[in-house]
Amino acid sequence: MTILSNAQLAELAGVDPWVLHAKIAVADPAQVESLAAAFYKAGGNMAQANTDQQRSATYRRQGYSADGTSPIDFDAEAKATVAAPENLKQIGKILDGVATDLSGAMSTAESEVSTLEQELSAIETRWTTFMQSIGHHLPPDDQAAERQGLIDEAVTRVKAHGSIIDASIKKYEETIFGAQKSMSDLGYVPPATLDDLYGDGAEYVKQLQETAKAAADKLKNNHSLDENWAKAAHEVAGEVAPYMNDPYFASAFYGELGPQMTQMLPSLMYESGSHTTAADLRTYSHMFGTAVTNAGKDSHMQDVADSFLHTPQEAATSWNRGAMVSNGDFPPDWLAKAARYNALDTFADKGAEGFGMGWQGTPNGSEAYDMGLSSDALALWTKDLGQNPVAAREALATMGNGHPDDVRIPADPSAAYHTNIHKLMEYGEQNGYPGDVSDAYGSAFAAASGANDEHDGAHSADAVAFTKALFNDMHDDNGLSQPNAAHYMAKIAGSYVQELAAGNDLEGTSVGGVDAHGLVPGDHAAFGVPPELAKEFMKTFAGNAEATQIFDSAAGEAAHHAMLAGAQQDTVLLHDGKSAYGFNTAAQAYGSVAGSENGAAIQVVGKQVEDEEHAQESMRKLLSWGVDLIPGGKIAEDVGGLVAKAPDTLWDIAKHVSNIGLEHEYGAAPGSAEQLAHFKDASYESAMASDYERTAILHDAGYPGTDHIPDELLTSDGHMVDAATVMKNEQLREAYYAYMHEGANAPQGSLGHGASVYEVTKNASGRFAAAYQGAKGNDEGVSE
Amino acid sequence: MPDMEYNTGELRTGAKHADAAAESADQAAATLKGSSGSGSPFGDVSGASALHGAVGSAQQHHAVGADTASKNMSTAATRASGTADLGDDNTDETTRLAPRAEQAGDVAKGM
Repeated sequence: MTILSNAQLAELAGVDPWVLHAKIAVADPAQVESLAAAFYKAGGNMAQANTDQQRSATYRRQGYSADGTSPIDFDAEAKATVAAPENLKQIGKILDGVATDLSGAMSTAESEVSTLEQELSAIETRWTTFMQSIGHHLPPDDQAAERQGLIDEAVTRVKAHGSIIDASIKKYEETIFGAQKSMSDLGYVPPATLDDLYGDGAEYVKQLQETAKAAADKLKNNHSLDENWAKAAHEVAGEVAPYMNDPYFASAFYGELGPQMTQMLPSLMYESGSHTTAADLRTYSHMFGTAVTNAGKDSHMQDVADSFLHTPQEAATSWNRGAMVSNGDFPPDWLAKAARYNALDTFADKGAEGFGMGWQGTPNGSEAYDMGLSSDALALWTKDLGQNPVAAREALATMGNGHPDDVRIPADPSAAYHTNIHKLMEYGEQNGYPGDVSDAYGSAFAAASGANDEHDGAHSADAVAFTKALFNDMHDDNGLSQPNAAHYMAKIAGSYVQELAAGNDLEGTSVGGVDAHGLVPGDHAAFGVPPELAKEFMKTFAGNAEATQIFDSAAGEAAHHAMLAGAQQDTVLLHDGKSAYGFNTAAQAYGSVAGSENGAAIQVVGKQVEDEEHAQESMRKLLSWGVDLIPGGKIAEDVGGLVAKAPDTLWDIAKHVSNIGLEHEYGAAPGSAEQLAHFKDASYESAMASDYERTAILHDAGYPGTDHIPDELLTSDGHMVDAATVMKNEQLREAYYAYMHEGANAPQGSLGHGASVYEVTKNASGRFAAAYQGAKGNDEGVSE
Repeated sequence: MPDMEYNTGELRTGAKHADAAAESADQAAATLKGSSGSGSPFGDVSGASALHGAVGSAQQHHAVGADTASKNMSTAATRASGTADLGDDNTDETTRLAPRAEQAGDVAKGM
């Protein structure tokens, strides 16, 4: 007979060590270790498989080609084959951690239960001994008193050991919870699919939501609004940051925080004197984006999201809401509507007057700037649109249409775009300092044009519609543009450089169509920009070195791509006995782009953009880049690398006006005094660098006659040594000079007149120069 | 008619690497398939079953992926090897029909 059963002791103790032990005893840490090892091993296998596959693809690509290219789509093959070995190894690591904690929890439970049972056994023995010795002589009350004393002692032991086991299991459950989240982050059982789960899945979501609400309550229930509030806001930001992409967590947090507190959060943060507001706000805003996107995951979140879709009474509310939207990824329609309700529709109606007192959204500017934001509510919302291309187009096409909930882009949005672009740029000019407005509209325009998320030659119809309107508007409004918009405008121009090239033979100051017969090789322009309009657009960034470099980089790459496509096209045409024109077409198209850019620069900056000093500077840049970017000892292995590394420098040289007409001064015999004089001339140097690039492109295209290029100008795998290396090595320069003077100029059998390497580069240079001069205009950069 | 070029040595090396990739991926698939746990390896505590489910889903996903990769690379190896054989046959045939190497060289240069 025992004094009490284990179940009775557990009930009295309020903790059941045996049930807890049973929960963990069924686990198998060895099996978890084995799973971890399997994932590690599979990760290693797949990493090796990927390496072998890449090697295989390289050999197979070189081993078989049809018309110069491999018929195998290696990219598609790689996509179909490549697994993610990193994920496999990561899972192995997660499981390793779980197995370690599990093992610890099991040992603790095992040991505690074992000790407990020994102690209970001893107590039982004491009771038996007591009853067998003196107990049975004592009255029942005395027996009961002794028994109760032993029971109390037993319960104390159960409670003590049970608590240790409980704590150990809770710690292990936290590990499980963390592992579950890590698996979710890797894409296994992502939160979005947890709706379909039950039991433990639902429990996981419930835990997330409870954690989120508890975090929100720390802000909601703290009414101090002093440094303690700021401290709490910072601590909560740290707590929620790991979950800011989780739909359940984010929506539960803001659902609990409520509409009013959510809208006031930015101003509460700076009013409390927080020094970490900028970083904290980025977290809160990011998580707000997740919450709005997943408003249906919490019963109160839709109310919070909808509260932003009302016209505010004053700029401060607009600004607070705009700050909450400054760093998140929001649904495009919601963002477009919010921008319209809070700023753009009032601006379309009232202009600079705004909500009656202008657009100043904070008591003083510095507080907003400390948060990395503009204090101008209109600028803030316009900048917010820069994060979302679809929302930017929707808002810019519909602002002021009288129905802020209707953000559908009309069939022909050009007039609306024209009106709204003009209004924003005009307001930007009125508020030239500190330039927040121009920074904001530049950001929104770049997003709307697709410059942030689309590729030139493959722009979406909506992005094209906006950009055509923007180009057309610049005929009238380029003078309104402010310095802070320059790099955005350069980025837009760089994203539409194929369209700038395609319009080389168009006239007028409006964008036009692309002639199917005059396509630039390799390009897929959606429309053409006449040189004069291109020049007007480029005035928005001309003279700004950083912005010019952004454009030059894109133009250099595009020009190289088109010239190579043209050379390849010509190689095929000549092979078929037809006249070649692709190389020349590309040269003319991009010569026009270069001329427009230089004409714009002359108008904005003045004549110094094309003087001798500039020629020397651009060559110094080329040569220094050659030194900086090509690892020592590997110069010969740098196959055409300079184009990829410094396309802006090569473009800068190509557009340099003083080289025009010098490209083919190869008349002097190699080694002559005349040749030496050429080499000392900076303009000649830059001309030669451009010419060398053209020859290298012809060589890469397999153009007939390039097989006579001297070996010293070739790398070990048959490409031409890059321009920087040649231009700083006198022997290589002389070798190239000699080739162009002699080998490149030799007739190429049946190729026909004008088709030798020398002639085709000369013609391309001429076409480049003619288009360049035509686009550039006179010495003042003005078209005549 | 497309102008085809073969380098059968490189094709065969490519096939060998593809075979090796298929072998490694196959091992990965076998390892993952063979490691399925049963029962409650994580115990009967809160969240254990959900984690077990997530791990199982990852295991199955990657086993299928590795299996597909193995099959794809095995096919690529067979194709590359077959193309190399075909290339050798074509070269033999072309040489028999146009034995004058200098003519073939002229044609190539004319490209």
